[in-house]
Amino acid sequence: MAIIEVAGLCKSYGKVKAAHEVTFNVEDGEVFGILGPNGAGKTTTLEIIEGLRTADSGSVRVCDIDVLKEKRAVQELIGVQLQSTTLFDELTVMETIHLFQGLFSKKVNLTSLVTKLALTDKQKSPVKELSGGQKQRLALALALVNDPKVLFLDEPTTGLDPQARRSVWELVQEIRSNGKTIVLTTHYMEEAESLCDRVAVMDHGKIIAMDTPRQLIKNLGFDNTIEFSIGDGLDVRELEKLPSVKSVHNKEKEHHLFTQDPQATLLGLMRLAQERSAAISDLRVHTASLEDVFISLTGRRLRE
Amino acid sequence: MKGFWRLVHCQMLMLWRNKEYLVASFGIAFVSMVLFGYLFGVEGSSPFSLGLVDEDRSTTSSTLVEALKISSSLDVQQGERENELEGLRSGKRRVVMVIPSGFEDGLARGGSRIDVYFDQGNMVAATQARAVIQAIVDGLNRQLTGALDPITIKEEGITAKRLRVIDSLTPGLVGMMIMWANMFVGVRLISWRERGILKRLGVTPLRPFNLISSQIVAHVILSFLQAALLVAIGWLLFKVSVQGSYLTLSFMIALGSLCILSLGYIIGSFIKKSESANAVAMLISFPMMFLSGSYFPTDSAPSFIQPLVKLMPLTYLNHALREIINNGSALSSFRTDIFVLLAWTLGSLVLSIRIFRWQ
Repeated sequence: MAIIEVAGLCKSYGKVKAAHEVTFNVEDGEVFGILGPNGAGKTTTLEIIEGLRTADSGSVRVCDIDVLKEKRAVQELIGVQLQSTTLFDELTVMETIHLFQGLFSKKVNLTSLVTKLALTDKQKSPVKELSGGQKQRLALALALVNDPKVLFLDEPTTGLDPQARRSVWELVQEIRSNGKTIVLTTHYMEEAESLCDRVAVMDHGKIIAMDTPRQLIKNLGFDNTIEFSIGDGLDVRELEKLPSVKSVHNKEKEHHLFTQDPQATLLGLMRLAQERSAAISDLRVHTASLEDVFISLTGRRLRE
Repeated sequence: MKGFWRLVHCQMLMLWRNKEYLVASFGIAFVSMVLFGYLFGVEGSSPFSLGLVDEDRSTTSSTLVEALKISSSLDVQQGERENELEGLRSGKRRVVMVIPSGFEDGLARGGSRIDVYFDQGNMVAATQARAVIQAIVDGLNRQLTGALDPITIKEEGITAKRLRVIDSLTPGLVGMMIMWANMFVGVRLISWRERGILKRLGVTPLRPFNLISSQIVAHVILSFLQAALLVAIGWLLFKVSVQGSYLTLSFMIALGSLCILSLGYIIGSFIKKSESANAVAMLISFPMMFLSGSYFPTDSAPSFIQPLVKLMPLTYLNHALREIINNGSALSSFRTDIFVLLAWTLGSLVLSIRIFRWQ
C-alpha cells in the first residue's frame, strides 16, 4: 500500500521551476531517498508534502489524506526534521521536547525517546549549549514525539562529522526496523545507497530516475568507472574508441570512462597516453555507484 | 488545551530567562521607584504654601477659601494677585490659586474657572500642586453637580489626596513597566521567523492563532506579576497604597498590556528584520517613557509636543492607573482612557493581522 502518493507536482519561483511534474509513490515501511545536487528541488518537494508550501498544481496524499485540503490532519501523523533546525535558545532539551509533544494529540513515552536518542545526560542543558550532533539528535527526537507514521528527514547528515553521521544512520535504521516509513533527501550517494530501499534521482526540479539503488546501478550497463585527469596532447574523442568503453564523460581536464572490462580499458588508456606523451594523474578505478548514475544521466557530479 | 498552556508556560520561561526583558521592564521601574522615592518622598510631605487670591469676594469663593484653609496639607496665605505671583517667582509660594471675579456668577450659569499658577521648573511642586488642586476642583465639581449644598467642601476630600512624589510616581512606573514588558513582542516573533523556528512549528498541527495567543497570554501574565511586585514594593518601602479596587487595577493592567502588545505586533509586521524592528521599538519606547507622564506630568509640556503626548497610548494608561491607585476612581471616571486604549488595540491588531507574513 502506498502511504504517500505524489502526482504531477509543480512549483515555480518566478521563472525557476523548483519542481516540475514530480510523481512518485512511497510504500508503507520503506526508506525512500531523494538524491540530487543542491537546488535540484528536493527540499521544495519535501516541504510541499509536509504542508509547509503549497504546490502550483498536482496532488499529494499522505496516509490517504489530501495535504492541500487537510494540512493539519497530515501534520498530526508525520514527523519532520528540517534541513536546519533552530529552536528556542532559552529552553532546555527536555522543555523543548515537552513543548513539541504538547502540539500533537498522539504522544510517545518521553523517557524512552530521550534514551533512544542518547540525550538523557543533556535533558537539562539549554539548547544553545548543544553540539552539532546533539542538536541533530534533538531535532530527530522532536520529529518522533508524536510516534509518526511517516518520518521526513531533509539532509539529516549534512554538516556532521563522520562519526555523528554514522550514528544518525544507525538511528534511521533502528527507526525503520520499528516499521516506520522514512523519506529522506541527501546529496551523499553513500547515504542513499546504504539507507534507502528506493531512490529517486532529482535534477532541475524533475525526477530523472527512480528505482532501488542496485537496479539503478545495474541499469547503467557497466560495472566500473575509471576516473582520471590527463595533460595536453590528447584528443578526447579518442577515449571513446578505447576497448570496452560504454560511455565517456568529460569535464575540462577530468574524465570518466564507464566500462565493463576495466583491465582492457586501462591497458588501452595507458598505451594511448604513452603514444601521445600525455601525463595521467588522479587515476581511480571503482565499481559503479549512484554517483555514476547521476553523472551518466546529467553529465555532472552530485556535488558541484 | 494542555498543549496551549505548555506553550504559554514555555514562553513565560523564555521571557523570565531573558535578562534584557527583565532589566528593561522590571529593572528600570524598580530602580526608578527606589531612587525617586528616597530622593523626593520618604517623609510625609510638609504642608506646602498656597497663595490664594480671592478676586470674586462672593459667598462661594469665601467658602472655597475657608475649605482650603482647613486642609492640613496646605499652608494657605491669602493676598493680592501681584504679591502672590511675585511670591511664586521668589519661591515663597509653591502654588498660586486665583479665584477670578465673576466666579460665582459663572457657576450659576453652568461653568466657571479657577486660575492656578505653579513653577514648571519644579517637578515636585508641580506634581503635588496639580494633584491637590485637581482634588479640590473635583470635589467642588462633585458638590456642585450632585449635592444639595453646592458650596461645602469637606475636609476629607482634601486630606485624602496628600500626594507625595512617590505616590504619583508608582502608577506611572507600573505603566512604564507595562510598556517595556510588551513592546518587543513583535521583535521576538520575527526573530523566531528569522531563525526558522516558525518554519519548524509550521510542520506541526499548531495553528498560528494559538501561537500568537499563547504569546499574548504569557506577556500579560508576566506583566501582572511584575505590576504586583512593583505595587507591593511601593507599599512596603513607601507605604504607597492602592485607593481603588484591585479588580479595576487588574483590568487596566490587562488592557494596557494588550494595547502595547498590539503596537508591538505592528512593528513586527511592518519591519522584516528583527534588528531593525528592535531599533524601531526602542525609538518608540524612549520618547513614550518620558512623554507619557510616567515620571513627570506632561500636560504642561510645550504645545508642539502636546499632539505627541495625546497620541501615545501610555499617556492614557498612566492617567487611568493614577486615577485608580491615587484617587480610587471607578472605571466610569476614566472612560476616555479605556476608549483610546481599546481603539489603539483593535486598530493595530487588525492592521498587523493583514500585514504580517509567516515566511
